[in-house]
Amino acid sequence: MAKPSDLIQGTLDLLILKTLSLGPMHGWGIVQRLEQVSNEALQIQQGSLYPALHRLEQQGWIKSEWRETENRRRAKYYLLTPAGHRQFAKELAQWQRLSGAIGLVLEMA
Amino acid sequence: MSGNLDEELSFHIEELTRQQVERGVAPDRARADALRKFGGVAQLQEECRDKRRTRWIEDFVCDLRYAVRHFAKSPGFTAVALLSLALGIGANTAVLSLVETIVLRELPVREPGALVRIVGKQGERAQGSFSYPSYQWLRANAPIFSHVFTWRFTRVWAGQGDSMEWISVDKVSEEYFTGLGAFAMLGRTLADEHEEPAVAVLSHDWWRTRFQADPEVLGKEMRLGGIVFTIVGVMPKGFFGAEVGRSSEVYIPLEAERLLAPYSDLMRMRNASWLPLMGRLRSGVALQQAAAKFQPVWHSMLQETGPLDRAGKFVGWPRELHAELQPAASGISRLRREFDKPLKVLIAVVAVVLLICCVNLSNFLLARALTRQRELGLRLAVGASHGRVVRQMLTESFLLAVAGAALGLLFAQWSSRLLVALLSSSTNTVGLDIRLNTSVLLYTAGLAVLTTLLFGVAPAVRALRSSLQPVLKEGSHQVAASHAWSRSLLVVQVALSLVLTFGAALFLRTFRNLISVNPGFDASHVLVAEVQPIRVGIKGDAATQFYHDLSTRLALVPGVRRRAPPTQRRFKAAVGGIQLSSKDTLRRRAKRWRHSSTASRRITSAP
Repeated sequence: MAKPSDLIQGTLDLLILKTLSLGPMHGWGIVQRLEQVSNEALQIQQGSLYPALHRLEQQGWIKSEWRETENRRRAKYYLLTPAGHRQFAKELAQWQRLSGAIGLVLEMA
Repeated sequence: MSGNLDEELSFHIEELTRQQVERGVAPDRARADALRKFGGVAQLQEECRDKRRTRWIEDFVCDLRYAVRHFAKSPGFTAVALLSLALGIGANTAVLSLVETIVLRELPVREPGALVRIVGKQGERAQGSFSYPSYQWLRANAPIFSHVFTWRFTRVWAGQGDSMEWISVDKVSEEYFTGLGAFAMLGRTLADEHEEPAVAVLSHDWWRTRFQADPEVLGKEMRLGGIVFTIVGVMPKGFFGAEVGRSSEVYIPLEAERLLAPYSDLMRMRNASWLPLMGRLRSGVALQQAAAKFQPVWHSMLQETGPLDRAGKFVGWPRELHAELQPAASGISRLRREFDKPLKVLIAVVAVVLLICCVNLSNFLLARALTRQRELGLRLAVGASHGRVVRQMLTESFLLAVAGAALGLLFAQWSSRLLVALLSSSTNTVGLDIRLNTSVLLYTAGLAVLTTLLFGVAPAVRALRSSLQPVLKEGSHQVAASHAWSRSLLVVQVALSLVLTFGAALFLRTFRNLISVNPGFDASHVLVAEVQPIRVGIKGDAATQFYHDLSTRLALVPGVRRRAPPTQRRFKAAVGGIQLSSKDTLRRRAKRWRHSSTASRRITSAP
């Protein structure tokens, strides 16, 4: 039940939006993709993934559809909405500003 | 929605399991691992559900069910709480209904806002009754009114022989019904009945009780005051004329007076002030303008038809009166004047009673909150937020208040009827139609909410201050209630109760004095009879002879010790004689009896 101490909530949203911007995906797929791409560094707690997905859906940035997977099983796929695209761009810019600023501070002698 | 969620999550778990199996783990262990890795599914579902907006309704229903179970567990406390709430809220509702009926409610007629009462005023002095000639003159000569009307409330004997009844009758003028804007339910109302004045219109209730709601009642005859009247109409339910608190059984034309009392000069007398004046303003005329335009008309009326002195000269005092047009949308009522102060006192008293109830209940709930500390501590430990717990307690209070308000409404119905009965005395029965209408219901609902907040908040907040650990360890041990809250509440409650108790004691003493006022003589075994010989044409010397004969014959009746000659009553015109009425009205007329003749005093001083 614990929230992840490694990732702040905002960052998780950003990662989800990024993943979905590349194409529709179901929850399991998002977890797998993030693990793979980050070389197992990012382990998303399932307990925080689904609430985040539902919150994003409530806010209208992603929407969901039931589709069939390759194995002919039913799963809920999430897609990015146009509003979600705009939100992603905004959050990406924020993240870059933030991380740039932190980087500058850390580099100072 | 939650079905979908389950399916979604189980898909995820299966994929996770499959992944583990591919890595070589045994299927059962793989599944167990997957579930563990996944984290608490129930918790997850709860969190997802939390994000949904319909959450608060579900919470509320849940709280309600819990509250019902909680109160069912302690029926004694619940019963006491409900009773005191019912009393507090019910009493307030009853008094408000009374006020609404007597003071606020508009007459059930067309456009009541255009109705005015014409009153003559000079400083503090007000003249509300006028003569028939004044009424006639005004009706013919006051163009600002589309209708001018009047009426006289009276009582007559209806029926004949053994089945006679003493009923209330309104003698109404030509434009009474059109002026008020009221229509008959059956037949017609009264208009200009100069040709044939022996017609009558029945009230709805009288038609239902005396004529069994007979639809063929039109054309039937009834006797009033010994004269045969033909029924020409029935009024709809709810119509009671223009006077709040008085409703008559039958309406007859004012012109019928010449049939009922053929020897009376009342309708021609300029000095008899016995009729109120009401008018309906023409549409579009504002009250201020109307009053201004009316003054000269009024003075002309006084000039032409005002009271004359013995020499036939015009009596000066009315000239100083100026006309006042009083808005009469809610009719006119002596009740308002008579009961103005008592009603205000009553409003204050029931408000204080409600306050005491709330304080009492608050104290109760505080005490219970202390015994529930363990239960609340557990809830907080399991993860309920503070807000959630407060919501729970407020919901409990709300449930109590709503149930109390529902009971209070029932109590209000009963007690408002009691109040109306108390307003009546033996000579003036008050008929009020107290109804629950939307404004009263809204008021009650508002009261319920207010009381919830009043007595629910304190315990709820107090309950939260409880610290978790010592409570859980000590089990259901009761913590001493040495809290400032409950002590101050207790003080307030005792103070208010004392005020009310003293007030009630004083009131009872005054009331007792009133009903047992010493009239200054021994009123036991004294009967007073009212006789009006003028109505059968006996007046002047014949009347004196009549009284003499009556007196002689009374002396022959066994059981009569002494009898007194007639005393004058209030009216100078026509009515004089021996009064016969019950003993309690006798007490109220004690003042007038002090001016009675010596003969009367002789009777009453004897044992």
